[in-house]
Amino acid sequence: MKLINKYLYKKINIKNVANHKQLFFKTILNQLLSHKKNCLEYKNLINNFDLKLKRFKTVEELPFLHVNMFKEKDLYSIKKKNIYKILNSSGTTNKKLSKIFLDSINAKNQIIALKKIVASFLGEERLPMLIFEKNPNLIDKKKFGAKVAAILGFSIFGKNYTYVINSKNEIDYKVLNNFLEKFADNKFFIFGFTSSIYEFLIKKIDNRKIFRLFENGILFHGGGWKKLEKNKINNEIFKSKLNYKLKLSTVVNYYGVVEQTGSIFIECEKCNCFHTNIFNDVIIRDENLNPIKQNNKRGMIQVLSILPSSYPGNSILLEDEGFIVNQKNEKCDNTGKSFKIVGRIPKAEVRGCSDV
Amino acid sequence: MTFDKSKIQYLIGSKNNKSDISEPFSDVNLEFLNELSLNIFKHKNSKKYKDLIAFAFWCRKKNIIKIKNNFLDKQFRLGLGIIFHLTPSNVPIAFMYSFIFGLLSGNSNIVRVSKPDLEQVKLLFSIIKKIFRIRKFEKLSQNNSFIYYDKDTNISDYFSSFVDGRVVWGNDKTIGDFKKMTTKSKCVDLFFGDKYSISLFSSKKLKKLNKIEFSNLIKNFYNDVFIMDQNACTSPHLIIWEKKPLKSIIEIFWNNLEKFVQDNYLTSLSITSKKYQILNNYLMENSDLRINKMNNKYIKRIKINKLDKNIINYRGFSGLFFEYEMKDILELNEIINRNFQTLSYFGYDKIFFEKIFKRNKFKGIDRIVPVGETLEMSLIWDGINVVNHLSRIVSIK
Repeated sequence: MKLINKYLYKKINIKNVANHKQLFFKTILNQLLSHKKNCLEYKNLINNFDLKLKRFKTVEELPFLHVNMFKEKDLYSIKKKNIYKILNSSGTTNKKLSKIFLDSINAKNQIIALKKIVASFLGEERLPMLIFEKNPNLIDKKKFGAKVAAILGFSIFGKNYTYVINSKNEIDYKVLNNFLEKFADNKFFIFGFTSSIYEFLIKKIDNRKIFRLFENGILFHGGGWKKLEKNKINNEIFKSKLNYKLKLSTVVNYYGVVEQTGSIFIECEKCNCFHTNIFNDVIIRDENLNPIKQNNKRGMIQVLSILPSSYPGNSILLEDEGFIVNQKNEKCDNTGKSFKIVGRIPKAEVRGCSDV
Repeated sequence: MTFDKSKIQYLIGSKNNKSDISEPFSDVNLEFLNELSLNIFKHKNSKKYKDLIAFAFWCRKKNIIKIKNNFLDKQFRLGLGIIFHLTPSNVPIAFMYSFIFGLLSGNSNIVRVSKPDLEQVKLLFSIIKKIFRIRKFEKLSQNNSFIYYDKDTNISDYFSSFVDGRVVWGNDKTIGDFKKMTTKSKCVDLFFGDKYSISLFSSKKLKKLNKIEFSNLIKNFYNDVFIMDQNACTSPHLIIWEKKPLKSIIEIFWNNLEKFVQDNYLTSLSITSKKYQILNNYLMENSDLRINKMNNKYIKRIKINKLDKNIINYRGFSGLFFEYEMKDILELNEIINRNFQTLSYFGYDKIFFEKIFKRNKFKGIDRIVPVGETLEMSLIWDGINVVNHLSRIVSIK
């Protein structure tokens, strides 16, 4: 039995990170060895760095790939004919897009993992789903962006999918009210990107035009706070505004990257930190790429996931900045790491004359 | 050619560019530079910016007079008129060198600054404004302007249409765009494109250095590379050692550099990230590269076994070097083209290179300087005598 299947096909408490440390390390190491065997570029990297993967004993020692490599190169560890779909990053600042090559197994595993992570919030049953995005109907089935990937990924928890944003980028109140009338008396699922939720549910929505409030809603949102920083909106204000305006009190923020779809980090209601779970891990690295052991000290975020099997994305250095928070935090029962995201690493003034 | 003229911000100087010309190295221009140098040194905030101090040092009276004396020929010269400058964005104050190219050649100038919001640029502008208010520099303030506009070919087109010369720093695409623009038939263009620089070291000479000489060499090499994060066109990316180098002294050299960098260089997460990305990229593309095993944090060395025709794409960043052991200097012939700019050297001398270059007629490399002098700006740039280009000879018989 493949190691990864011990995670996916067994009843497992996703919060019980402590008991899975060894399995986690072994599973990732096995994945890396397989990528080395099947992906020439990855093999070059390991060989040129002169790394002996089998000698490593801890996750901190494992090599990590710079996240932009998925923009620079086509990286996959499967036969070309087995490519099932290609995920693209939404690429806001950089022109080049990430390309994540999935085979059907990898795609399936992403869904299973995501289900296990999210089920503890939503329960096992599918809920009516309200989506604060435009309907991504007209998309190339093989190539789609991170946004669509996330919507489709989360759609496995929903039914009666209702896209509330029309082509003019406005809230379609008719559609919204129709949904609320039918479903809002019971638990329902709301999904949207943090920036869209801010734009539509906090800034634009007109309470006089809606049939009822959202007190039974469970909101999942992710995608970062970059656009909100300008308006001085942080997580706390965000939550209190949603509660004040719509009586929406269950608000779950997640952190994930398209390079590791499925193994997302969920923000804890009790301590407002992201927690690792059995599928993933986080390491903070300093200016010399050494792991930072102290709490609250900022550095670059490295994310690890057991899931990527069709492309070498198990251990990636991101361009985000964050820090580890004291692990013995209050009442939460999580045994993983707790961390916070600061945002993109600040751009240093580049000194040189290579382009205009 | 339609665009909104309000998109052009005049940071210093007026919209009605007057074109006044003078002889190259006119007294008032020299005085202006001297005043500029003194005022930068005097300002309490200047010290924070190494590039600003280096600039002030460069344009001090003594140095400019030295440069002037090197240029004096018996011809009577005058500037061309108005020069438009499109300056590089990544060296914060490189635009000043471009401006001085135009000024010392006897011209009026319109300088497009790409990052006017940088602290050292703001500081510099406040100093220039102050000097421009002095009566004897009144004309300079009327004839020269520093402007900003968001990248916009229509605006560049507009300036190109009426000026007498253009100095454009940029990549192939930018230069290509500027070549397509309509200019006056007599307009003179200077294009400074992407360049590649290398270093040649003798390990045998390295071994003969005493302690002080050794640490001076380290400091000089550090300055060449790290002041500009190895991002200047003069920064070496490829380090060439002579045939059968002495391995142990080479390791000592890099170790000492590592220590010096550790003590003096301010890195950041974004610099580290970018460097790691570049490193990943090279290592993934090639099967036969080796990164040195030395556990250095700052200095990363990639050994290459063969000089590739595309070596110009092997660019380091912030202390990432490609190292090659050369069997014969003629190997350079295989790789050198017009995009090679500076060769800095240690352990050789002027005569050695004069001989080699006369004999072999390499198709590139415009400057050969000792290690430590790569960043020194000169009025001969990329093999072109800038003053001669931006002025005309009036022959009187």
